[in-house]
Amino acid sequence: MTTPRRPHLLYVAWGFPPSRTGGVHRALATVNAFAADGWDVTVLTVPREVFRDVTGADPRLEELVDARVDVRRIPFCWPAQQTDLREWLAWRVLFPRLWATVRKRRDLRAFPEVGYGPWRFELEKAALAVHGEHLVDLVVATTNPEVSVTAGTRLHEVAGVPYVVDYRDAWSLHTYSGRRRHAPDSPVGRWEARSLGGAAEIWLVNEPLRRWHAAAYPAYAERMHVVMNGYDRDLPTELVRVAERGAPLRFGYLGTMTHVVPLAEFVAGWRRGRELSGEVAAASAALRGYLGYYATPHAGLAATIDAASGTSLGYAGPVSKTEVSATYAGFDVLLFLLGGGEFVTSGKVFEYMSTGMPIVSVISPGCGAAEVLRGYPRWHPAADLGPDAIAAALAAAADDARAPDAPTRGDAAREHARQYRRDRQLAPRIATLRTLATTNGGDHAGH
Amino acid sequence: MQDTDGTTTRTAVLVSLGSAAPAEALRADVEQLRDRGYRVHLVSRVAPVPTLAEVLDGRTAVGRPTGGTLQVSKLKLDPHRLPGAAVVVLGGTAGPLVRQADVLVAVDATALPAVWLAARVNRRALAVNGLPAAVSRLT
Repeated sequence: MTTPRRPHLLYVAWGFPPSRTGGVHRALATVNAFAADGWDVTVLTVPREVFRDVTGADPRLEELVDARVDVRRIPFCWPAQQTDLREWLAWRVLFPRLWATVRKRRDLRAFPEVGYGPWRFELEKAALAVHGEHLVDLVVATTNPEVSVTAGTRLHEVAGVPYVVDYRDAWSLHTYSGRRRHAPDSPVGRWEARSLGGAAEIWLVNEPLRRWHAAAYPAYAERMHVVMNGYDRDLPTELVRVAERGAPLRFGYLGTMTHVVPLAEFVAGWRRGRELSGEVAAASAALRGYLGYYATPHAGLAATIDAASGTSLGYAGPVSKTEVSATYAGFDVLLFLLGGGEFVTSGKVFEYMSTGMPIVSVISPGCGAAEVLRGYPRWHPAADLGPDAIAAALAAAADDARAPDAPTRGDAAREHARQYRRDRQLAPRIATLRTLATTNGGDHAGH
Repeated sequence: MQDTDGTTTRTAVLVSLGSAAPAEALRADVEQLRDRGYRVHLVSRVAPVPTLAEVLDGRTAVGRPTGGTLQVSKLKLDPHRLPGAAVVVLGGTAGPLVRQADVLVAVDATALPAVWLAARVNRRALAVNGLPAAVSRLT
């Protein structure tokens, strides 16, 4: 009796540990889940320096990658983010707009995505090399950047290897405004149709996104599946407790702060809350995470926080994924700040709910995260983004944190969150894909 | 740079020419540079927030805090472009500091031309876009 060959997954993720960029936890969880299911897993990603110097890195995140996963860091050139200024050509400094225009045209020649387009050639070359060494049975590409799909489309064309497009975000749709940003007959529209058309599965992170894509591409609708972000592991039960008697409450935010986070509105609400509630006036608020998409703090966001000085609200820097539990343990109430409409759920909301702690949400009306939070017993939503509504939510959450039955309700909250464990999201898809990969048996032309 | 006691101190010069006050968010990286033995000096248009100022070894004001062009003789120069950048980082009190620095850092995008130019004058200095990148390169 022969042992069946282990299926081989080629996983493509630009943002992979030690990256701290959006979606890295989804990428990490996905490769670990495939490895745990008995797949050989090879990852294509970019060199560590890209994260270290430009986007920000969480070096300890690499420790969480399953030791069986083969991570290959392939070259990635990012001239727009070149950090060594001695390498800059004089004409870039003298004529920055002209330089940017020329750069953009060069990027788009390879693939319709500014900044990332030229990575296509490295990806395709690396995918073929991996397939040559060890037959690939399935490619999963997580986007964005969207160029990641080219490894799958190339291997599919050349060798019939099935592939999955994992849309963490959306490409043609602007998820925050809800408007289409690329026409179907544009280069992006054509590439999207091509990549989705050939995909064995298309993953979306929430039901509104699946609906939108199903309407835009009805022929592929049956291959579209919702794979929510979920949370990775249960946090210590000690997080559920009554706030320490006599000690000021500690409110906390944990996550990346970008221009779509209603930070200024929260600062105004925090000030108002301090006027209206003695409990909030005595409390502190710590904002933890990166300020903006890059390692260098976004000056405007930093200024917004600095303007709140004197209100016990402060920025306390990023947190390693490995220190998340300890960070939550230092808070009594969590602050969930998010912009965007029905297509936006975020990844952070799931981890927040897994704590069982009181959550104050300051989110745009109609934001998709509200649907995820609905039913969470310790959710204290601000009715709108006005200071009075935020102040009322802060006061309600403060009362919740002090309530004698907080542990009981905290346990109920954790139980409610369990439906969002990441493994529960991924397991059905991995089972289906195993069947697809193993029944193809190396002859991938059957797709 | 040699101190009076004969020891050599390395200097990092941070340049900020934006309209926002250099923020507390920079503090952790400044402290890391100091932990590695660097004196950290800020050259900026706007004074830093107090929590950042308290971890700096010094600050030199350049340009106009309210922004706008610099009047040099009959010329109006934009400090975000090369001729104006030359005036703010190579002239006045900032000039000697920049010429002797071991590390030059543009902490905002408007400072990029100035730091690029400073690196042409002070060729032995590391010149970096962004404080996190500077910290990671020095570890």
